[in-house]
Amino acid sequence: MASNLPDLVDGVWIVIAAYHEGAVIAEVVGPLVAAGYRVVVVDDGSGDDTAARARQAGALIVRHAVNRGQGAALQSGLRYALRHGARILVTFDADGQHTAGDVPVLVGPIAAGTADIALGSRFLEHAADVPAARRVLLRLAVAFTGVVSGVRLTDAHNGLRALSRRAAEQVELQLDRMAHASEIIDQLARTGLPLVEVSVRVHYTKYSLEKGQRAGHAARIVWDYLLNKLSR
Amino acid sequence: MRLFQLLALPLIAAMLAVSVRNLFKSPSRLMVSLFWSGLWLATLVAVVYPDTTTRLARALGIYRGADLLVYSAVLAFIAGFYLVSLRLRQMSREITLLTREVALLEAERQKDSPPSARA
Repeated sequence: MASNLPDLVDGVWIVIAAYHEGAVIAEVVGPLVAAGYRVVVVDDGSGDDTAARARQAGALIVRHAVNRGQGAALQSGLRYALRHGARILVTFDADGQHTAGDVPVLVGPIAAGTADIALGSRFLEHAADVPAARRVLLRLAVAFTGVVSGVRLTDAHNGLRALSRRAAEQVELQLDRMAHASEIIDQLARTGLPLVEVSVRVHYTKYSLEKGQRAGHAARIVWDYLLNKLSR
Repeated sequence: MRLFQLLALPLIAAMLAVSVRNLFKSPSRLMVSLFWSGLWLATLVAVVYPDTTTRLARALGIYRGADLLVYSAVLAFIAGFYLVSLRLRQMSREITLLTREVALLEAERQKDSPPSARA
């Protein structure tokens, strides 16, 4: 249990980017707060009660006045947590796909000093849980990320990641929207800090599948990523 | 003088006059004003002496002056689209940075205020 392992809780901040997640955000934040983590929810300009529900569940709130995208929201959350002394930073999806129980598994290698970057992978042990259509899309994302970042991973667009403070300090996401998931791997790879993949479970619900990435998003991700590379 | 020239020349002359005036009025934007002055001057010459585009086209290995204008317009459109994309991206980046700073400042203010005062 995380509560028996203070090193896996003290100084661990959970960063959640949320947009129109009022229906589920309290269920996502509640178990994390109960486990003793500091939770910051970046409400990315939602028009619903996401911020109010997250605050009631115990999260700190950073609120974008206008919607800027998941990458922009994550960067704001990382910045906030770093300013408040975070030792280990965990990015966590707002749609209920992840479980609080996986956080210690990710934080473990960083707390032990064996890695600075721990990336959650749903394909190490739980590939069968992934719907077939989503599996194809994610395999393509893995291949794309491998080509552009030079890092061979089993999962690329998994929102569950843990970073040491020194790793998070070197992340400066320029891609505001979904392409940040490839960009963050690219930036982390360039730090040269030790990286591990950790098996985590992703729970697909009708809600999360409706809100998640779809094939139509792939072209936009590639375009955003390449334009960013070309314009440097 | 043809009807097209009668219609186009006053407009082109007016735009050229504005560009030349900007050359002296806004020295900080000298290159931009020079570009537009040159473009309007070239347009003026092409309308007054239509054969100049044909001569230029043949010098460049293109048969017709009209083809030269079409090719130039396509290239200018592609270059313009790319430059506008970069500009939009830069503006988007600036909006994000501004949004982030405001959000972080507001978060600090909320954290320091009593719960009853929070929105």
